[in-house]
Amino acid sequence: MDIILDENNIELKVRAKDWREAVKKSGAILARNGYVEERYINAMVETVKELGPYIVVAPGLALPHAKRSDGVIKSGISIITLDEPIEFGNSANDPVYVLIGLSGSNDQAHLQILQAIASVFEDEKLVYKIAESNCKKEIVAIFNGIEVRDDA
Amino acid sequence: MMLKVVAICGCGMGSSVILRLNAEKAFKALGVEAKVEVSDITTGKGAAKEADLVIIGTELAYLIQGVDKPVIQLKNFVNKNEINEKLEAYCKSQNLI
Repeated sequence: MDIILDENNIELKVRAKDWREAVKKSGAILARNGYVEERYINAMVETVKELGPYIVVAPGLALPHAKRSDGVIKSGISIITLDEPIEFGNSANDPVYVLIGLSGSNDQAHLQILQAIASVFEDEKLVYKIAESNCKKEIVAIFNGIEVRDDA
Repeated sequence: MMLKVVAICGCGMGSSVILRLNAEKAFKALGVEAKVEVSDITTGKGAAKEADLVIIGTELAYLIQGVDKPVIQLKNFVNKNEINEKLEAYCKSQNLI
């Protein structure tokens, strides 16, 4: 499969005062690297404000995103790890250590990205391993080393 | 009979797609024929009415209140055990397996 993540899309031990700032920082990487328009960043925050903290999909892991129509240019992800975990208000899965910003263009690349995320975090310990990592290369290797079946 | 399933999330592009991927694998393992589609909150309620089964995150379950269909709520979208156990229980309750 194509490479879904490179080091330019990762920031480690990021400081954020609350979930809004953390979500914005994950979106800012997507905007800086040409995956989304600037307006997408605020739409990511608005999605959580409107619908609640459902983007915290597993213990320690949030997948902030907005709709394609909110300014998606192409499918991709950003990863930030937090220097201090943050509460999103999701009783089952708080606090969040890792945010994966999603930009989805409803294409094969997007499907492969979500398959990779589902496969990586099937191992619940990996979110904490990623959170503690000081090495972007290690995180890239975790994601790009995942085998994704083309038939799924 | 092909089971019609809808996975719902806020935008229909993130967590619901992960739910669909994991649900498809779970149904395959159970030997149950199912067509799993994704939907967002604007179309979710309508799609739920057309489906045999709804899969949704616990935090969003309020969005489909009043929909008279079996609903599976999930806390953890990437934990295979949770979705496998809940889908298996559903299939047993419907005498599908």
